[in-house]
Amino acid sequence: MKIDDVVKDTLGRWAEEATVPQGLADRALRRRRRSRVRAFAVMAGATATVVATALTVPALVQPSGGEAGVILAEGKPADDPAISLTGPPEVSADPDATPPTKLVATEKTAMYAYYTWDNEKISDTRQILKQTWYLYNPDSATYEKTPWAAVDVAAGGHVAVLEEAQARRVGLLGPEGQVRWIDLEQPASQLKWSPDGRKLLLVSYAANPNEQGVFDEDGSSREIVPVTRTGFSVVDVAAGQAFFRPLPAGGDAWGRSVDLHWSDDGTLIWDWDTGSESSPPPRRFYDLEGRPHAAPPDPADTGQEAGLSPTGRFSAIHSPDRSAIAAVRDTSSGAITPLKPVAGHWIEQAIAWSGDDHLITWACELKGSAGCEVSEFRNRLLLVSVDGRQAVPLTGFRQNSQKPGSWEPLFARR
Amino acid sequence: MDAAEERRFRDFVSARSPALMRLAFLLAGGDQHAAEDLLQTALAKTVARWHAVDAPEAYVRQVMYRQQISWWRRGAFRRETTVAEPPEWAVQDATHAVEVGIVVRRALAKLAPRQRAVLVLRYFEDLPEAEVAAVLGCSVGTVRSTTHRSLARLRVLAPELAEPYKIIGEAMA
Repeated sequence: MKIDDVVKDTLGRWAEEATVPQGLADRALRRRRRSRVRAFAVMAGATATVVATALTVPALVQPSGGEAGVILAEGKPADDPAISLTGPPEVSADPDATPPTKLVATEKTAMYAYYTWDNEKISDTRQILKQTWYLYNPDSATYEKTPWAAVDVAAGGHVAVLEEAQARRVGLLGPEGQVRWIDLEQPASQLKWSPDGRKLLLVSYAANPNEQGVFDEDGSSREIVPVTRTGFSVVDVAAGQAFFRPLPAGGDAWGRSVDLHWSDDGTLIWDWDTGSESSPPPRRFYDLEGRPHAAPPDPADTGQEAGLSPTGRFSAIHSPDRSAIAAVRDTSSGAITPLKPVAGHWIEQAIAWSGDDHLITWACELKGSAGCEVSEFRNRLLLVSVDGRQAVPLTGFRQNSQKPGSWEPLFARR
Repeated sequence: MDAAEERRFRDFVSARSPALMRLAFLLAGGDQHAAEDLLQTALAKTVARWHAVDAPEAYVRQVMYRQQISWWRRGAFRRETTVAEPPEWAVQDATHAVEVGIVVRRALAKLAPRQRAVLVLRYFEDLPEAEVAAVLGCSVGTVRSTTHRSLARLRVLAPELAEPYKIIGEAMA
């Protein structure tokens, strides 16, 4: 046996002793996904009743430019929340269903909507990332499919929608299926409620920002479709007025990184400075006129989707050690509690707070002392106490969160 | 990176992380934590350039090779690595093949990262010398001489390899 063969044989056997750590992709993506659920917030939906009305009534009553909010459906204003959760505020789960059919909620927070996603091919080389939105209907006590292309839900169940990418108007859903439409000066493809639920931020692009290249046969490359932001509109919901402000960005290969986001207090908006060399790139803040603005002191960027708890007492952070992926930090004392395995689950990500005392997380089935059975992409929503000691499954397991047809939740305060 | 690109990245990591981790493990001389750091750093660099990377696996591998050597140059990873098996067991027990394997592991762990990287590229990745040179950004002659020195160093670190094992091309070097 030659020494070459010995070395070759030794390396081959030795390599088999390597252990693949969990969450490799998550860790690499973490910096870019901090705002993913909200950033990708083309979220929310409508009930079947809403759908029927929404599709017919708006066409009859088109508001003209500058007109105040139009009242539809027998004169009833559409500003009551579209989804009123009656009954006692308690934990409601559907632990065997994926996606859930029964209401998923805690005492403080509810999953008002979810979307499924798929790629819709529009040519040999181009496709559209398409979302199908489902909204909770209290009357039928289940989630129902809607026709909306983009949705967001504010605290209390107020729902705003876009009918399509590059939409020329934004809709506010009412409880009886009526829609109040507000015209936009420029078409928009992304919408987000302000933290106080009084305003909407709509982002305009030069083309559909969800258009992408199709991977070639071996899956190794595809055309990069540049996304160019042209500006944004801020909608005063009560007044029914929208004002467009140019704020161009992008045109390179950075995709949805040109999206805009509300600051924590809703007085500013921000985007990522993707021209920066640093990683993650710094945020650039603007006032609501689109003028550059100094960053607010200590902008919350905790690393985990859930961010600061409602009162700011805790923040969801990355675990500083290998005993967990996520952790809870007491913002006054600095004490850190890693969210270690609990009730047979390995916690992968903290996505929303329920009050100051519970977190809604993605968690997989625990394998051994750390890590996931099957894969990190098979996971369920799990409600975890802030001390990490108690857990309640909220949904069944997604089979693979990375495959078309999978679903993503949208939470808001009850 | 948009949602579809992120999914593509996740699919890539999901599918290739076992192979990439094995490579990182060898480059790190059997140090699991160092291997995780190495792969994690390479993946973070890859995701930052994802839109421009046509062949992600080749890119990650190249980043790991060069990163490992770069870390070594800065001294960040000049630490003793350990081999799981106790030496008593290795030396005095088991078959000759097992014994030699363990001794060689220990010797490989003691090589300089660049020496180990060349051996991993040549004998684990099975790359021809020209490709090794391209990956490491050096000449074929450097690859050849580094390979020779690395094997010679192995023989010093693991006297069990002195005979009857012969280094291919030794007479020519």
